[in-house]
Amino acid sequence: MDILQLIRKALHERLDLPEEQVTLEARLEDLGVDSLGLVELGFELEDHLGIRLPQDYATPVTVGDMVKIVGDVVKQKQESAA
Amino acid sequence: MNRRVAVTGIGLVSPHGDDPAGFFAALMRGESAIRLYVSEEGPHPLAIPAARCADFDAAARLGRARANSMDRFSQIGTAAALSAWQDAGLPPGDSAGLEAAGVCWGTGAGGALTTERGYRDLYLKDRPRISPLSVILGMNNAAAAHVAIALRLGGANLTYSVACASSTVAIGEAFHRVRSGETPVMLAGGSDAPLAYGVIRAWESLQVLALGDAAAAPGVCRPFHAGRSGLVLAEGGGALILEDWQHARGRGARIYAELLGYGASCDHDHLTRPHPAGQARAIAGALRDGGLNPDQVDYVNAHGTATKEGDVAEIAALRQVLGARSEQVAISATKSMHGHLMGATGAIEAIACVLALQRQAIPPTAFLDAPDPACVGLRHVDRGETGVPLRVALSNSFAFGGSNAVLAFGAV
Repeated sequence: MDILQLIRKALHERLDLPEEQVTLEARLEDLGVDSLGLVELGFELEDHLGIRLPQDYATPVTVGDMVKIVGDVVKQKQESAA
Repeated sequence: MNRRVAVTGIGLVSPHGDDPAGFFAALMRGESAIRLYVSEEGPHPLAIPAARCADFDAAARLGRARANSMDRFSQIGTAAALSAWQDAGLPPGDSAGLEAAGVCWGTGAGGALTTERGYRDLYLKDRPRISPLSVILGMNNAAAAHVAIALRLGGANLTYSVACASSTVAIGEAFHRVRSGETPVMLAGGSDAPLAYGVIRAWESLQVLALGDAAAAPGVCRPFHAGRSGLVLAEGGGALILEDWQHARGRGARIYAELLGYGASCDHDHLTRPHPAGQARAIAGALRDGGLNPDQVDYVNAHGTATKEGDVAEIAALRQVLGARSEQVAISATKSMHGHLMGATGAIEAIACVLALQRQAIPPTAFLDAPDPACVGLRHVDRGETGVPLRVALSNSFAFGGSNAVLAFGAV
């Protein structure tokens, strides 16, 4: 499952958001994801993907920002494993 | 100068449902909500009489996002508080004049279910970490905070944890804040969701729980009965809106009852063995606080947990304070039907008292077909009574630790 799809699923389960509302351009704040929700979302993605996000990653504004942050960590992991 | 304090709103989430009228009607009929609770969630199967709020749907009441950010005790508490505020017909808490309106809340077990979930993940499922929401779901003041956020209440936000007297203390302390003129409105009550595997096992070991199978469960909690065998754990919550009398009259609010007095004391004797002298100090304290004398008291909603020692001590304490009046004072223990809601029990019993006064009707102690000779001295009500003139009703809460709290309500 790609990262955007994982985020859609997590936000649907937690916030009851219709998946089509969760686009790359959508602002997390507008979707109802506050700072606490972001910590939780990061936690779920970490668990699911077997990764660790850096403690100090720049706060994402849009869903696309979050996809990129997570994607970069996944890529690093794959590279170091190769 | 002291203000008079009106009860202008009530709300609850109870084993009898979340409609106060339905709750009171069930009590009047002597209908028990206690059932056999069977759980396979723990390492060993569990089957014990308990009273659950089986129909409570947190996501439907609060929205899924909000419900997911709460432990069950906060979900129940927030739902009860929202109902009470709506019942009182008050504007949002940040409206002009309500700046000091706040919350006094009681809970015994707090976020026990969240704590248990965390330990289960760590120890049973061998997970290296637990949900980042664990702290804020589990903290004991979470329910009060959620209530304040939901209703925009910017005044004092206080949580009292006084075991089984928690919400009675919360209501009493809120009452004094309104009476002193500090605020025209306080929301007070409590909630508990103690049906966690570990919590149930802990109570079981203490050997104070009434036991029975599915057929026996509804009638297993029998306060003041010669054959009583202990208490029944329950979950739920209740909230009352306490309002300055003039403020309530000024806006044409419906007044259910008047809160007249509050007394608190400690047995300072033993952690679990109740002492009538300590309880009597709280009862007498509530009367003194309300400028009342024993002859005005018509009804007592007893703490009445159905333990061997507790019920006898409570009758002794009441007789000590009420004296010659005792024989005429009606008493019932509604725990026979809704079980023991731990830190929330005082709130739900206060609501039973308020409705008894408003309707001039006394709910019974269910299943009291053979009263214990050691519990005589007051007029035990074993069947719902209507058309009874009630002036003052007491609501007793006596906690482990010897902490006692009593509220005195008056009919309008």
